[in-house]
Amino acid sequence: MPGACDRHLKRSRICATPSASGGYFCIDCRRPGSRRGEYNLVAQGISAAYIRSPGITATLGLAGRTASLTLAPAELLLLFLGGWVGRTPLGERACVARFGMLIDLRTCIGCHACSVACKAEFDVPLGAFRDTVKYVEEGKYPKARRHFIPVLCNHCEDAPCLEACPTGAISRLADGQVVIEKGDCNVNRFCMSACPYGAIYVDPDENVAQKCTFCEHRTTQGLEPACVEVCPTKCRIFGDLDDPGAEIAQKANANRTEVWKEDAGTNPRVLYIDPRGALGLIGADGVQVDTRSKMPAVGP
Amino acid sequence: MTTVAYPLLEPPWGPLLGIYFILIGLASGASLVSLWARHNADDGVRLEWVLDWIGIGMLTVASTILLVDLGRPTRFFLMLTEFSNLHSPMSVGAKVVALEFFLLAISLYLLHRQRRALATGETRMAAGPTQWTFLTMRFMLGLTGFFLAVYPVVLLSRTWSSPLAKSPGSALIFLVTAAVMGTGLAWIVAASRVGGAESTVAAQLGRTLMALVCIEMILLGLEALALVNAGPRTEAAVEELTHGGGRTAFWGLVVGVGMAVPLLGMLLPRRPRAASLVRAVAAIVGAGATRYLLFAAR
Repeated sequence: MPGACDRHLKRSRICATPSASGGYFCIDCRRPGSRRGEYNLVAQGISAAYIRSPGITATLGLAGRTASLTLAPAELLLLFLGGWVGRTPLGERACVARFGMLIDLRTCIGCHACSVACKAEFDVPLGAFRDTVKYVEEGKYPKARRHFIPVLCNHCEDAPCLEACPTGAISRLADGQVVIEKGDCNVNRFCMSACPYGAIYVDPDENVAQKCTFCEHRTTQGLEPACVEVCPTKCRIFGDLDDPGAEIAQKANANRTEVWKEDAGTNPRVLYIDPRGALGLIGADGVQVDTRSKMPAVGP
Repeated sequence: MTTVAYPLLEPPWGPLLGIYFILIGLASGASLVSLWARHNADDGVRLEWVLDWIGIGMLTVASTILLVDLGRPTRFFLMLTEFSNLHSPMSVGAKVVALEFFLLAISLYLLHRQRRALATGETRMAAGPTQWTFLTMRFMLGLTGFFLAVYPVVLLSRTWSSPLAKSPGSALIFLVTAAVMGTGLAWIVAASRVGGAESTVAAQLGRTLMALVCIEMILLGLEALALVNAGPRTEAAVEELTHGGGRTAFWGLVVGVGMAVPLLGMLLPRRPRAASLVRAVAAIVGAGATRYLLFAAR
């Protein structure tokens, strides 16, 4: 049966088909599928929206193997019935990646190409940022140094904004992106108060809270986020943190990585290679505060 | 002066939300004191009746302020109907505010029935379901009042924008300030009747209010001790209150009006009705200012 591993992830494809020996393999690279704990099962004809709904956790035998499932009761019933009549392939599961971003501060040159690409991609209003680059100076002449630190929403594993939102407008997609549903936001700004990164702003045109989505509209098409694609030094790497074959996972494993505001305990999915400890210099700042910084005087 | 950076250029919530917390405190305090009045005041039904109307009025104004401040009122029904995120204090708070509205409306209807019965000479409430309904209603109102008195702390402690709300004594301060405001309102209501200032219930409320003001003062003192070396943001907030832009409100309204005026009023050899009203209003203003500053200081 056809399938794809997490590396060849496409949201619409069913992957990790059980092989004759009971293991999982990928149709593209013949690599065994990842064996992470909790899988969302998507049967044919069942809306992916069910994945987001709170379900029950059950343990089922799947093609001779056991996997932990999170399903609504109605889904379980459909799966059993579908499997029984042979219309719903019980052995298939949806690919679930753990999308993240790795930013190598050694190679960022502060060109703001990412900021501009993001602004253009989402028509972000003046004075607000989904993604920007902090310029931070450290030391004094002759030992002065300038750091360039790209910052964006961290799509935290324990996202405070997600738990703060009273209307359910903020949700986590199957692949881990934390996104805001515009129609459900009533601009109560609790998410903005809860986010320690200041990553959320109010879009004055649409009167809704907005933030980086990891370019969810692009990644579902197999593209990279706009900021990653335009980076001239390739200091940003986007991908599945759980896929050992992915570039992001390999580079993260090969280097010591840091996160912004580790003390906040949010488990960010944006990792930094930061050998010079630059992140500590913006420990109290947020994504949105750039407009307050004064530009150096130019001219006589 | 300590300079601390924050994730956003401007705090997400403005003064209107601070006023919302004051009004919620008034409503919850009125509910708490109303619970007491039923069992302790000789004109308890009248006191309950007026306090419930005050509570429902405060909640109406508070909800209107919230809608005006935050915008997109058409989406506010989601806060009441969306149950998927009960982790959110705001989600739970919105539902409890709606419950308090509902309970106050029912309570007012029941009190209306009771007032009519009292006017016809009936002095005893029928035992059985009627009595149980009354008791359950008052108990539920007391519970929701207690929740609403404290819930701003739960809400604010999840944010970076109100560091003082994360402090160890803030929940107790919010509870006591709500009780001060409720008792102050009840005292005003009791004293506003002809001869009411000399009534037993007014005297009881006056003594309770003074005790609560003393407790509030002690709590603020202990809080100041607890906040020494509590981190740069908390220290910046304390400095803002005591020496910065909030010092006039803190020393003038919280300490001066809210504590000194009511307590010094006790020293007067004679306590005319006007003086009692001034002390009650001063205590309410001080408690409201305390709640506002715990929200706004940063």
